[in-house]
Amino acid sequence: MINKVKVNQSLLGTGTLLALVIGVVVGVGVYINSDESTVADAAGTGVVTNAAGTLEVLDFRLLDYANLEVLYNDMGRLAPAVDGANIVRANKALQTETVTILLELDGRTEYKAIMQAGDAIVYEWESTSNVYYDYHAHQPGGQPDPGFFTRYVEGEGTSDRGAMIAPYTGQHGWYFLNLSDGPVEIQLTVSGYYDELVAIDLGG
Amino acid sequence: MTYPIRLSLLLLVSLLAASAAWAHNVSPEDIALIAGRSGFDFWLYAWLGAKHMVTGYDHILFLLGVIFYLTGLRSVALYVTLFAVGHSLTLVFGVLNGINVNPYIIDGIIGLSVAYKAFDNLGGFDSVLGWTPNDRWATFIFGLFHGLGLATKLQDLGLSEDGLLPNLLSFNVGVEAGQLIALTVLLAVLIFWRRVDSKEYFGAPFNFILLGCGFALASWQLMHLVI
Repeated sequence: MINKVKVNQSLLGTGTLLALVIGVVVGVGVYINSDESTVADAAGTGVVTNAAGTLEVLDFRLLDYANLEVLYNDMGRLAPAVDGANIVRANKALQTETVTILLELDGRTEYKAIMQAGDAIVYEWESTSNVYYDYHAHQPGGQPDPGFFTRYVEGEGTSDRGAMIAPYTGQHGWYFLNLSDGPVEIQLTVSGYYDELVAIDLGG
Repeated sequence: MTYPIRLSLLLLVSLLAASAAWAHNVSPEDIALIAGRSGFDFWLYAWLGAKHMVTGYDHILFLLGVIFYLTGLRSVALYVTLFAVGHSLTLVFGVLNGINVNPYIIDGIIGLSVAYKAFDNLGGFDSVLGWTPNDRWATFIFGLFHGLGLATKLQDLGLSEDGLLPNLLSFNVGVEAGQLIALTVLLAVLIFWRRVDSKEYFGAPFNFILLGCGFALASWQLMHLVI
């Protein structure tokens, strides 16, 4: 059984209007005043999400040795890091793969590591001549919208190396475009915790 | 202004201030908890589901609106079951089919569902339209939207394909357990309320507050789409 009140029409009108105006003012005010463009990096993953839902990778956490509390025990001096920071624990076997990529004049291709959120790799690539590279990531099924991707780094050059922790489950890898006057050969090495390294068919 | 309106304004502002403090987006802690895991883990997912429901104030406010004027545990059980069936359907269907609706749109609709229920509790539809939409269908249909919101958030955690279905069902079990916990507290509060306010002087002011909260939640979420 439902036993509702029925308020009179003028109170209903005034109250609803007040609720609407105050509600919208508070809702909009809260949004504008809260710093929702960055969410606190509580997990220490170095990854924050901004209001647009895109991920930004922060500077990796470095220890501030000058201000660390140093503990002494019978094993020596122990300078504790923030618990769990700078560590990625893996639940899969370590893999290493090297692929040789040949790009014709004006050729382009893409290699991606399929990774679960939190997986980590170190990578290195070297090319025989100048290429454009765009190291980026997509979520499965083009979420949250088909044009969405996260760019880690882009540039022109003949080599790049580094390490990456996947901020979300998806494809994480490199677009290469040959910028030189002839064919180039790129050697890409990926090592770490990931599902597989795949060549992406760009079509055309 | 009459006393009930003044009181409701005061309560509205304090409630909104409290609710704004608990944003319930997917927390980095939860992402870290799931990161790098695969395989079936009942307690982990049940915990996440329960936590989402208990701290998800939009679900709670809607539930409060739904049971506010119900009398008798049997009707409470009926409406809560309709809501649970609705959100379970879209939660399971949404995750298994990778349906990921823009969370701000869904959370905006969930905010509006709170406003809808409050307006309904005030007899607003009857006053304005001379007709009230079917309560049971409305509860079920808004349940479907709440489930889509849950599905979107669960997928944002970065689920592994390994053990997806059992983990999903565990999450759903957690959601229902969390809902029962929240419901128990809400019922206790409502029973106490009816003792103190037996003439229901505060029923209307409270539902105006709920209406304001619904509009505030909806406009807050929809602002994410505008800016």
